[in-house]
Amino acid sequence: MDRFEHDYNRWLDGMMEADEAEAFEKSLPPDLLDDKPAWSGVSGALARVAKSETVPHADFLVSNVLASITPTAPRRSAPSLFGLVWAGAACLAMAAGLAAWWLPNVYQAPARDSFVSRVLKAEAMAPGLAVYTFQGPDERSAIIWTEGVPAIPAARKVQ
Amino acid sequence: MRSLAALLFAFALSLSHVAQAGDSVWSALVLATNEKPPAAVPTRLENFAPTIAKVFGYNSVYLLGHKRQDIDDGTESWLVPSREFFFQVQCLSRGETFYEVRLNLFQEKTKLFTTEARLARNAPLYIRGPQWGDGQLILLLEIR
Repeated sequence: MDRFEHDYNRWLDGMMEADEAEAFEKSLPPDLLDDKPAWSGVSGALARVAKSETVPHADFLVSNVLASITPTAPRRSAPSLFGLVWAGAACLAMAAGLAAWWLPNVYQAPARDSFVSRVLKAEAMAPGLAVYTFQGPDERSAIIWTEGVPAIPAARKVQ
Repeated sequence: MRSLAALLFAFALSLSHVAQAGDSVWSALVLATNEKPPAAVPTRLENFAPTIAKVFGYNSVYLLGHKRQDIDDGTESWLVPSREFFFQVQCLSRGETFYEVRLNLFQEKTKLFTTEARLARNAPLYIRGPQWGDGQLILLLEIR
Protein backbone atom coordinates (compact mmCIF):
# COMPACT_ATOMS: atom_id res chain seq x y z
CA MET A 1 0.00 0.00 0.00
CA ASP A 2 1.52 3.30 -1.07
CA ARG A 3 1.19 6.64 0.64
CA PHE A 4 -1.72 7.77 -1.54
CA GLU A 5 -3.76 4.63 -0.87
CA HIS A 6 -3.09 4.99 2.81
CA ASP A 7 -4.27 8.58 2.86
CA TYR A 8 -7.20 7.76 0.58
CA ASN A 9 -8.42 5.05 2.94
CA ARG A 10 -8.08 7.38 5.93
CA TRP A 11 -10.04 10.04 4.02
CA LEU A 12 -12.80 7.56 3.13
CA ASP A 13 -13.05 6.38 6.74
CA GLY A 14 -13.21 9.95 8.00
CA MET A 15 -10.08 9.58 10.05
CA MET A 16 -8.44 12.80 8.79
CA GLU A 17 -8.54 16.14 10.60
CA ALA A 18 -10.68 18.78 8.86
CA ASP A 19 -7.79 20.81 7.49
CA GLU A 20 -5.91 17.69 6.39
CA ALA A 21 -9.07 16.35 4.70
CA GLU A 22 -9.63 19.64 2.94
CA ALA A 23 -6.06 19.66 1.60
CA PHE A 24 -6.35 16.02 0.50
CA GLU A 25 -9.65 16.64 -1.31
CA LYS A 26 -8.00 19.45 -3.30
CA SER A 27 -5.42 16.99 -4.59
CA LEU A 28 -8.01 14.38 -5.63
CA PRO A 29 -9.39 14.07 -9.16
CA PRO A 30 -13.13 14.92 -9.35
CA ASP A 31 -14.25 11.31 -10.05
CA LEU A 32 -12.72 10.11 -6.78
CA LEU A 33 -14.43 12.84 -4.81
CA ASP A 34 -17.72 11.08 -5.48
CA ASP A 35 -16.48 7.94 -3.73
CA LYS A 36 -16.82 9.31 -0.26
CA PRO A 37 -20.63 9.65 -0.13
CA ALA A 38 -21.01 6.16 -1.62
CA TRP A 39 -18.57 4.65 0.88
CA SER A 40 -20.28 6.47 3.75
CA GLY A 41 -23.52 4.71 2.81
CA VAL A 42 -21.87 1.30 2.72
CA SER A 43 -20.01 1.74 6.00
CA GLY A 44 -23.16 2.98 7.68
CA ALA A 45 -25.03 -0.14 6.54
CA LEU A 46 -22.18 -2.38 7.74
CA ALA A 47 -22.19 -0.69 11.11
CA ARG A 48 -25.87 -1.36 11.47
CA VAL A 49 -25.67 -5.03 10.41
CA ALA A 50 -22.44 -6.07 12.07
CA LYS A 51 -23.57 -5.46 15.61
CA SER A 52 -21.96 -7.72 18.22
CA GLU A 53 -24.36 -9.86 20.15
CA THR A 54 -23.84 -11.22 23.67
CA VAL A 55 -24.03 -15.02 23.65
CA PRO A 56 -25.88 -16.55 26.59
CA HIS A 57 -23.89 -19.31 28.44
CA ALA A 58 -20.66 -18.31 26.71
CA ASP A 59 -18.52 -20.53 28.93
CA PHE A 60 -20.52 -23.60 27.96
CA LEU A 61 -20.18 -22.78 24.29
CA VAL A 62 -16.42 -22.25 24.61
CA SER A 63 -15.94 -25.51 26.46
CA ASN A 64 -17.94 -27.38 23.79
CA VAL A 65 -15.90 -25.84 21.00
CA LEU A 66 -12.65 -26.69 22.78
CA ALA A 67 -13.81 -30.25 23.36
CA SER A 68 -14.64 -30.66 19.70
CA ILE A 69 -11.24 -29.44 18.47
CA THR A 70 -9.07 -31.12 21.12
CA PRO A 71 -7.45 -34.40 19.84
CA THR A 72 -8.99 -37.44 21.52
CA ALA A 73 -5.73 -39.50 21.71
CA PRO A 74 -3.08 -38.14 24.06
CA ARG A 75 0.05 -37.02 22.37
CA ARG A 76 2.83 -39.62 22.69
CA SER A 77 5.94 -38.35 24.30
CA ALA A 78 9.43 -39.56 23.35
CA PRO A 79 10.58 -42.60 25.42
CA SER A 80 12.77 -41.67 28.36
CA LEU A 81 16.23 -43.12 29.03
CA PHE A 82 14.90 -44.68 32.23
CA GLY A 83 12.21 -46.48 30.25
CA LEU A 84 14.71 -47.72 27.70
CA VAL A 85 16.94 -49.12 30.47
CA TRP A 86 14.02 -50.97 31.98
CA ALA A 87 12.98 -52.30 28.58
CA GLY A 88 16.53 -53.56 27.98
CA ALA A 89 16.65 -55.24 31.39
CA ALA A 90 13.31 -56.88 30.73
CA CYS A 91 14.55 -58.22 27.38
CA LEU A 92 17.69 -59.61 29.00
CA ALA A 93 15.69 -61.29 31.75
CA MET A 94 13.39 -62.81 29.16
CA ALA A 95 16.36 -64.11 27.13
CA ALA A 96 17.98 -65.63 30.24
CA GLY A 97 14.70 -67.28 31.21
CA LEU A 98 14.23 -68.73 27.76
CA ALA A 99 17.83 -70.01 27.70
CA ALA A 100 17.45 -71.60 31.13
CA TRP A 101 14.29 -73.32 29.98
CA TRP A 102 15.49 -74.24 26.50
CA LEU A 103 19.12 -75.31 27.01
CA PRO A 104 18.40 -78.27 29.33
CA ASN A 105 15.95 -79.59 26.76
CA VAL A 106 18.42 -79.62 23.89
CA TYR A 107 21.58 -80.40 25.79
CA GLN A 108 21.74 -82.93 28.58
CA ALA A 109 25.00 -82.44 30.42
CA PRO A 110 26.62 -85.75 31.33
CA ALA A 111 26.34 -86.67 34.97
CA ARG A 112 29.31 -85.78 37.13
CA ASP A 113 29.94 -89.49 37.62
CA SER A 114 30.69 -89.76 33.91
CA PHE A 115 33.94 -87.85 34.38
CA VAL A 116 35.16 -90.17 37.12
CA SER A 117 37.24 -93.31 36.71
CA ARG A 118 35.92 -96.11 38.84
CA VAL A 119 36.77 -99.77 39.41
CA LEU A 120 33.58 -101.75 38.91
CA LYS A 121 34.97 -105.06 40.07
CA ALA A 122 38.37 -106.60 40.71
CA GLU A 123 39.42 -110.12 41.41
CA ALA A 124 42.81 -111.44 42.46
CA MET A 125 43.98 -114.29 40.26
CA ALA A 126 47.24 -115.28 41.93
CA PRO A 127 47.42 -117.26 45.15
CA GLY A 128 48.08 -115.16 48.24
CA LEU A 129 47.16 -111.95 46.47
CA ALA A 130 44.50 -109.49 47.73
CA VAL A 131 43.07 -106.59 45.78
CA TYR A 132 41.37 -103.49 47.22
CA THR A 133 39.90 -100.61 45.29
CA PHE A 134 39.02 -97.05 46.25
CA GLN A 135 38.80 -93.57 44.81
CA GLY A 136 41.78 -91.23 44.68
CA PRO A 137 41.94 -88.01 46.71
CA ASP A 138 40.81 -85.94 43.73
CA GLU A 139 37.67 -88.15 43.48
CA ARG A 140 38.24 -88.61 39.73
CA SER A 141 41.07 -91.12 39.77
CA ALA A 142 40.78 -94.71 40.99
CA ILE A 143 43.21 -96.84 42.95
CA ILE A 144 43.78 -100.59 42.89
CA TRP A 145 45.77 -101.59 45.92
CA THR A 146 47.35 -105.02 45.78
CA GLU A 147 48.72 -106.90 48.76
CA GLY A 148 50.79 -110.06 48.62
CA VAL A 149 52.61 -109.55 45.33
CA PRO A 150 56.10 -110.98 45.90
CA ALA A 151 58.77 -108.29 46.08
CA ILE A 152 61.20 -108.11 43.21
CA PRO A 153 64.89 -108.17 44.11
CA ALA A 154 66.68 -104.89 43.46
CA ALA A 155 69.22 -106.62 41.24
CA ARG A 156 66.55 -107.78 38.83
CA LYS A 157 65.72 -105.61 35.84
CA VAL A 158 62.06 -104.65 35.44
CA GLN A 159 62.37 -102.13 32.61
CA MET B 1 21.13 -67.63 36.78
CA ARG B 2 23.30 -69.81 38.93
CA SER B 3 21.86 -72.97 37.39
CA LEU B 4 22.46 -71.54 33.94
CA ALA B 5 26.11 -70.86 34.80
CA ALA B 6 26.47 -74.38 36.17
CA LEU B 7 24.99 -75.78 32.99
CA LEU B 8 27.38 -73.82 30.82
CA PHE B 9 30.30 -74.94 32.99
CA ALA B 10 29.26 -78.59 32.69
CA PHE B 11 28.93 -78.13 28.94
CA ALA B 12 32.46 -76.72 28.69
CA LEU B 13 33.83 -79.48 30.93
CA SER B 14 32.14 -82.17 28.91
CA LEU B 15 33.55 -80.84 25.64
CA SER B 16 37.07 -81.47 26.91
CA HIS B 17 36.30 -84.89 28.35
CA VAL B 18 34.04 -86.47 25.75
CA ALA B 19 35.23 -89.89 24.65
CA GLN B 20 35.82 -89.84 20.94
CA ALA B 21 37.35 -91.83 18.14
CA GLY B 22 41.11 -91.48 18.25
CA ASP B 23 41.33 -91.82 22.01
CA SER B 24 44.17 -93.91 23.33
CA VAL B 25 45.12 -95.59 26.56
CA TRP B 26 48.45 -94.69 28.10
CA SER B 27 50.16 -97.01 30.54
CA ALA B 28 53.30 -96.47 32.56
CA LEU B 29 55.46 -98.28 35.07
CA VAL B 30 56.68 -95.98 37.82
CA LEU B 31 59.15 -96.50 40.63
CA ALA B 32 58.25 -94.52 43.74
CA THR B 33 60.83 -93.96 46.48
CA ASN B 34 61.51 -91.72 49.43
CA GLU B 35 64.65 -89.64 49.09
CA LYS B 36 66.27 -86.68 50.78
CA PRO B 37 66.04 -84.32 49.06
CA PRO B 38 63.21 -85.47 46.78
CA ALA B 39 64.23 -86.11 43.18
CA ALA B 40 62.96 -83.90 40.42
CA VAL B 41 59.63 -85.07 39.02
CA PRO B 42 59.79 -86.18 35.37
CA THR B 43 57.64 -84.04 33.09
CA ARG B 44 55.42 -86.96 32.12
CA LEU B 45 54.64 -87.64 35.77
CA GLU B 46 53.95 -84.08 36.94
CA ASN B 47 50.20 -84.68 37.06
CA PHE B 48 50.57 -87.96 38.94
CA ALA B 49 53.25 -87.20 41.55
CA PRO B 50 50.91 -85.40 44.00
CA THR B 51 48.49 -88.33 44.11
CA ILE B 52 51.34 -90.83 44.42
CA ALA B 53 52.73 -88.84 47.35
CA LYS B 54 49.36 -88.59 49.03
CA VAL B 55 48.12 -92.14 48.49
CA PHE B 56 51.31 -94.19 48.51
CA GLY B 57 53.53 -91.93 50.61
CA TYR B 58 56.57 -91.51 48.33
CA ASN B 59 58.20 -88.19 47.50
CA SER B 60 60.19 -89.23 44.42
CA VAL B 61 59.05 -90.89 41.22
CA TYR B 62 60.87 -92.34 38.23
CA LEU B 63 59.38 -93.34 34.93
CA LEU B 64 60.63 -96.83 34.09
CA GLY B 65 58.60 -97.34 30.95
CA HIS B 66 55.43 -96.23 29.19
CA LYS B 67 53.31 -97.18 26.23
CA ARG B 68 50.41 -95.65 24.36
CA GLN B 69 47.86 -97.68 22.44
CA ASP B 70 44.76 -96.72 20.44
CA ILE B 71 41.54 -97.91 21.99
CA ASP B 72 38.64 -99.27 19.98
CA ASP B 73 35.33 -100.90 20.87
CA GLY B 74 35.49 -104.64 21.34
CA THR B 75 39.13 -105.06 20.47
CA GLU B 76 41.70 -106.62 22.73
CA SER B 77 45.14 -105.15 22.93
CA TRP B 78 48.30 -105.56 24.89
CA LEU B 79 50.01 -102.80 26.74
CA VAL B 80 53.59 -103.50 27.62
CA PRO B 81 55.04 -100.65 29.64
CA SER B 82 57.90 -102.91 30.76
CA ARG B 83 59.08 -106.44 30.18
CA GLU B 84 58.14 -107.41 33.75
CA PHE B 85 54.52 -106.17 33.66
CA PHE B 86 51.95 -105.91 30.94
CA PHE B 87 48.23 -105.37 30.57
CA GLN B 88 45.67 -107.07 28.45
CA VAL B 89 43.00 -104.47 27.74
CA GLN B 90 39.60 -105.10 26.18
CA CYS B 91 37.24 -102.23 25.56
CA LEU B 92 33.76 -103.41 26.58
CA SER B 93 31.81 -100.26 25.76
CA ARG B 94 32.20 -96.60 25.21
CA GLY B 95 30.12 -93.88 26.84
CA GLU B 96 29.97 -90.22 26.08
CA THR B 97 32.81 -89.44 28.46
CA PHE B 98 34.34 -92.78 29.40
CA TYR B 99 35.32 -96.29 28.37
CA GLU B 100 34.45 -99.46 30.20
CA VAL B 101 37.36 -101.86 29.95
CA ARG B 102 38.37 -105.29 31.19
CA LEU B 103 41.95 -105.33 32.39
CA ASN B 104 44.18 -108.27 33.13
CA LEU B 105 47.50 -107.49 34.75
CA PHE B 106 50.31 -109.94 34.21
CA GLN B 107 53.67 -110.18 35.86
CA GLU B 108 55.64 -112.17 33.35
CA LYS B 109 53.47 -115.26 32.83
CA THR B 110 51.44 -114.90 36.02
CA LYS B 111 48.05 -113.21 35.87
CA LEU B 112 47.86 -111.09 39.03
CA PHE B 113 44.30 -109.85 38.82
CA THR B 114 41.44 -109.13 36.52
CA THR B 115 39.27 -106.07 36.82
CA GLU B 116 36.51 -104.21 35.06
CA ALA B 117 36.77 -100.48 35.28
CA ARG B 118 35.22 -97.36 33.92
CA LEU B 119 37.97 -95.06 32.74
CA ALA B 120 37.14 -91.42 32.11
CA ARG B 121 39.42 -89.22 30.09
CA ASN B 122 42.27 -87.71 32.07
CA ALA B 123 41.20 -89.53 35.22
CA PRO B 124 43.96 -92.11 35.79
CA LEU B 125 43.89 -95.53 37.39
CA TYR B 126 46.72 -96.18 39.84
CA ILE B 127 47.74 -99.78 40.58
CA ARG B 128 49.99 -100.58 43.46
CA GLY B 129 52.45 -103.24 42.33
CA PRO B 130 55.16 -105.12 44.20
CA GLN B 131 58.17 -103.71 46.03
CA TRP B 132 61.32 -103.41 43.96
CA GLY B 133 64.41 -102.92 46.09
CA ASP B 134 63.68 -99.98 48.37
CA GLY B 135 60.98 -98.59 46.13
CA GLN B 136 57.42 -99.32 45.20
CA LEU B 137 56.33 -100.15 41.68
CA ILE B 138 53.17 -98.36 40.60
CA LEU B 139 51.35 -98.88 37.33
CA LEU B 140 49.39 -96.05 35.73
CA LEU B 141 46.62 -96.27 33.19
CA GLU B 142 44.94 -93.24 31.64
CA ILE B 143 42.63 -92.57 28.70
CA ARG B 144 43.97 -89.74 26.54
